[in-house]
Amino acid sequence: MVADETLWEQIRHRDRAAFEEFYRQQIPRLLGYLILCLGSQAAAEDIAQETFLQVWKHPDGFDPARSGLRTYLFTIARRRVVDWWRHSSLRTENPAPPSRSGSEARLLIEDLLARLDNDSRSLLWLREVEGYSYQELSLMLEIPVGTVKSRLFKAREHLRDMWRRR
Amino acid sequence: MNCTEARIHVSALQDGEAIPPEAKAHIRACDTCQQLLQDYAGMGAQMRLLGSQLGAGKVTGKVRLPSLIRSRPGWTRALRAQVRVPRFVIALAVALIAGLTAGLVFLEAQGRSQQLWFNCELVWPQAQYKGPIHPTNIPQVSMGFGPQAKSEDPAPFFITGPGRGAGTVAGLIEVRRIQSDQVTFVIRVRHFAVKDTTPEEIERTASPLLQAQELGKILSDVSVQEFSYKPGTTLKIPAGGGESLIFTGETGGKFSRFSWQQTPLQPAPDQLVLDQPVLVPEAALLVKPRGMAKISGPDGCAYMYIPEKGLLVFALNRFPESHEAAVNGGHALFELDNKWYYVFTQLPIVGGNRPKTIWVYLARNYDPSLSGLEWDRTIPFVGSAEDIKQVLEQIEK
Repeated sequence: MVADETLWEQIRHRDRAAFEEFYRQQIPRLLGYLILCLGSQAAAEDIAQETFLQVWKHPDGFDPARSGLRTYLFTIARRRVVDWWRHSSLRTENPAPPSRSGSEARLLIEDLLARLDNDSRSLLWLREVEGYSYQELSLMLEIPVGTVKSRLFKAREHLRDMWRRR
Repeated sequence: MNCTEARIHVSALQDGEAIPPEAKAHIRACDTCQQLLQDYAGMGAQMRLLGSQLGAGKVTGKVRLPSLIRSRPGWTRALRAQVRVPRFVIALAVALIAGLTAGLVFLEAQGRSQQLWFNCELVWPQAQYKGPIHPTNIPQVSMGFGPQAKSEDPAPFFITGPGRGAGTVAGLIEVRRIQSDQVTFVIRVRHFAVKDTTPEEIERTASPLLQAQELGKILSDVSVQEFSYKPGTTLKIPAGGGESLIFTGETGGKFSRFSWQQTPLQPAPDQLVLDQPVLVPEAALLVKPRGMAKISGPDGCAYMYIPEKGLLVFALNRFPESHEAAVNGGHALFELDNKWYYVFTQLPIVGGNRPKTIWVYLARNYDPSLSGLEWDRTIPFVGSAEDIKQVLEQIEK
């Protein structure tokens, strides 16, 4: 795998092939995160496009000493999600889960996640699905590591309460 | 410590973060906290399953890379145009870049020193089985130690050879100091032949809920060996009875995505690893066999026996009747009989570029007794073979 710093250098030097590879690898995960956060495929695609565009246009916003390139991508996406929640006329605190067929358990977790508040849902997803460490989440969300720990705990407790009452 | 105080640490444990020893001791011994941990793990598994399906294949025409980068903005043309720059400006820029680069290196080194982990692997070469499917063979273990290694209990491990004749190697390892260029650890290890004790007894003692003191009693007459190990090198550790273990390890700044007991050794691009896999068919946990299977090279395969279902065979290259499986880190997703299956493992399954494709085949109604051993059909297992042809031939029989 190309190291983050090398990839970043390639993107800085307008290497389209490198950016395409980065895009190809990251778009499914990013889109999954955005669909979950926004509850809308169309809005998720819009934010994904804006996010990648920002990386392409302003690669100097990335600091390899601070985080990985993927972390940077999700940080941008998360900021844009927060903006979307603030400014969209369609905003809702608990977006409806995207409708699709699936197993009962999957539909259940989708439904329960949609009932969490935006921050808890986003944080839990970034940890459980995207696998970010507490340190990375702390940088991404600009909160202390201890706060990451306690917020994750509260999010899990809330989710588990609903999970057991189902 | 009580359950109320321990709950927040259960959450951290699920995330693979270091927790205080007293919390760890409580969680180990407390059924309520164990249940909480299982619930957290179950919810996490469902979320990852959802995650694998939410984004995949859902990109419509709107988000397309060419539309992002097709047109070059005007400022790039300006950059490409020839511009006369005074020499002192170039010198200043070079000095500035050099200064910034030095700063970056310093910051990176500082960051890593705060989060240094040590991942190691113990291999018992004599236990490597050369034939097709074998239910009892676990020739290697991988372990991880975090920045708080000093406060951790000694970690137990055991390695089983193929069949009773090979016996078992059991040991305790304690990492005392982790530095990027040197790791200090102590180890007590012993080879148990069948005449001393049975593998079942060792395995029962060294179960996942093992209290380190119990194995400590068994190994009380074994001398402690202390090593100052240079990461990346290979160390031979005597295990008694003429047996020895091959020890390799590396330091790193990151903890495994999905594990809380062990940290990953990154597989090489030609390797496939199934470490403590869990198979989830869409909704509920199906099987959780113990052990680890690891292959190197294009001809090998790893396998997982699932009672009442059959034998799942995994390989890096396509083979007859195999299905594609998408691998990302420690999980793999594939479809069989119109049903999605998810495998979670402690270590990354493949190395190199990720996500990656591997190939999987289900031998339905496979009978473990084909291995030539009496084996309880209700007990799952994992294993590996150097030559997939041998495995497929045994399955055909």
